[in-house]
Amino acid sequence: MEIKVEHLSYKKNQNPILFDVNMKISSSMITTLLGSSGSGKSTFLTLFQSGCPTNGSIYIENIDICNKEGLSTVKNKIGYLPFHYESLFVKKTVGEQLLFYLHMHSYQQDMMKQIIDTLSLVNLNQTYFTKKISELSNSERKRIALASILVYDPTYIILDEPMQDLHTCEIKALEKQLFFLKNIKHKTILVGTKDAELALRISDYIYIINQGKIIEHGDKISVLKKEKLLCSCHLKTPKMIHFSNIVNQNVNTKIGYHCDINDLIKDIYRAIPKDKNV
Amino acid sequence: MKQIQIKDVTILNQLNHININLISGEFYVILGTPMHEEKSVISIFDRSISYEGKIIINEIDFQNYQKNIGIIPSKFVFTKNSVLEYLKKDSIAFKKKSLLEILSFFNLNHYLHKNVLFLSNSQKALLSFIRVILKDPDFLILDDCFTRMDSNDKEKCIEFLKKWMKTGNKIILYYTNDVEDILLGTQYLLFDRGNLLKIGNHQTLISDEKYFHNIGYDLPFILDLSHKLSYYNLVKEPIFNIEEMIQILWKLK
Repeated sequence: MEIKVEHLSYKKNQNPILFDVNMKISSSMITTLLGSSGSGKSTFLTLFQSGCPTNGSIYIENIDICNKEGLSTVKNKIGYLPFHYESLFVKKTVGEQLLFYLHMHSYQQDMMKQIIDTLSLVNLNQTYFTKKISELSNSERKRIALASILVYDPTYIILDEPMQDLHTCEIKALEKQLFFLKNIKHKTILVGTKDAELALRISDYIYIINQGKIIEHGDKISVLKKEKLLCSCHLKTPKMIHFSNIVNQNVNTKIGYHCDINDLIKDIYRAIPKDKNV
Repeated sequence: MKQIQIKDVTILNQLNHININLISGEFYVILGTPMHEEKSVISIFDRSISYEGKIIINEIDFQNYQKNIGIIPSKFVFTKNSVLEYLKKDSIAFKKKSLLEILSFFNLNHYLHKNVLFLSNSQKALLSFIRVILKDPDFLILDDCFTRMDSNDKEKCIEFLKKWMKTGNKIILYYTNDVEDILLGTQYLLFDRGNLLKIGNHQTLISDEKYFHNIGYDLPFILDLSHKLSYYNLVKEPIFNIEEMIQILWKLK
């Protein structure tokens, strides 16, 4: 089941924000919408919840969600984590919050088991059930927000800057969970971010958005090695890609593009004439 | 400001008997553990948290130095003001000329009369940074304030801070979750579950690798690469710059 976005545009107070956006988001994949602040990515992602573009359509399971009827048909299959994730908080305690989202999305199975499983998915244990959200740290609140949209087991997970406010350990853990959701639970995941390093680590496919337009898309390496393009969009090339770019521009031997530092080291070792070693 | 002495400071469930001397001219970067609010050391300075212990600035209790302390928060709230109104709000020695110079440096000079609510998140974060900088504090605290900025805006801030540090008697304390930013500072402070684990500088980064791992971090990319390449005898000593590393590896010099 894929998501198709066709000729989507959006105006706010007569100001055009999105221009003729076309995308195809494959099922059971992580697609990243990469763009700087103000590029239109949050506005775009919001449309998965509001379904009200000025023109164009978003199709989920061939249903156009840009009308009330279509949106209500697939509403329970969409989990959307907004940039201002605190707007999701409607209840005092973690347990009340997650139960609220289960009821809101008419979840039919064992609710307590689902809450405990979801808390574990965001690296929190069941002792959090009775904790007050207002007394949690930023990172814990972020994970409760994430749990609020994962708890009703949506098929399509839309995340706007999911790693912001998280510690490196928590980012690594959440990345693992995203891979779990993709590979084991076959979720379709769309992540909006300005962090090209994150895009390199998690994406199967990347769209770059700039000033409301999709200006590039493709597999992650083919997109992220375009350093000039990223720079023109105020995005920073991932360090490992930048390293390979500099080598390939300045040295006769070519090295590949990698997501893992150990693969990069193997490639460097292969590419250096052995008599030149220190 | 010559130095800030943090003496035996404890915050319930957050910090345990912390002793640090912050010296003028240094840029300190704090890295902590997840689920532990070690950045509460910052909350002491805006008086939003109670603590035990003493904080002394130039031999005097820090509360008398409040006007010389600037805190740039990680989150910010804006109301429907113009950029100019927002920046004027609590700037004591507000001078339009210096404001325009700074705004121009950050490419925001054309936004002076624009409603702040219509700015991008990165521009809002930048404004929050500028508002504090305008007060020219001696002690500047950065509370993970770059996470909402685009890379170019963050680079501008870093460029600004490097120049600003040279204006004399400044201390920066920067709390971050990004290990790459260790290289922005001159010293780092590693916290582990509320305890000060290690103080170091660029020269001790590799020997402190295990401490970084203990609190969940790898080394910054270029140092990690440098360190791992040394196992293969490809580099001899830590290298801090990608271009320099490539020159050394391929003997381009």
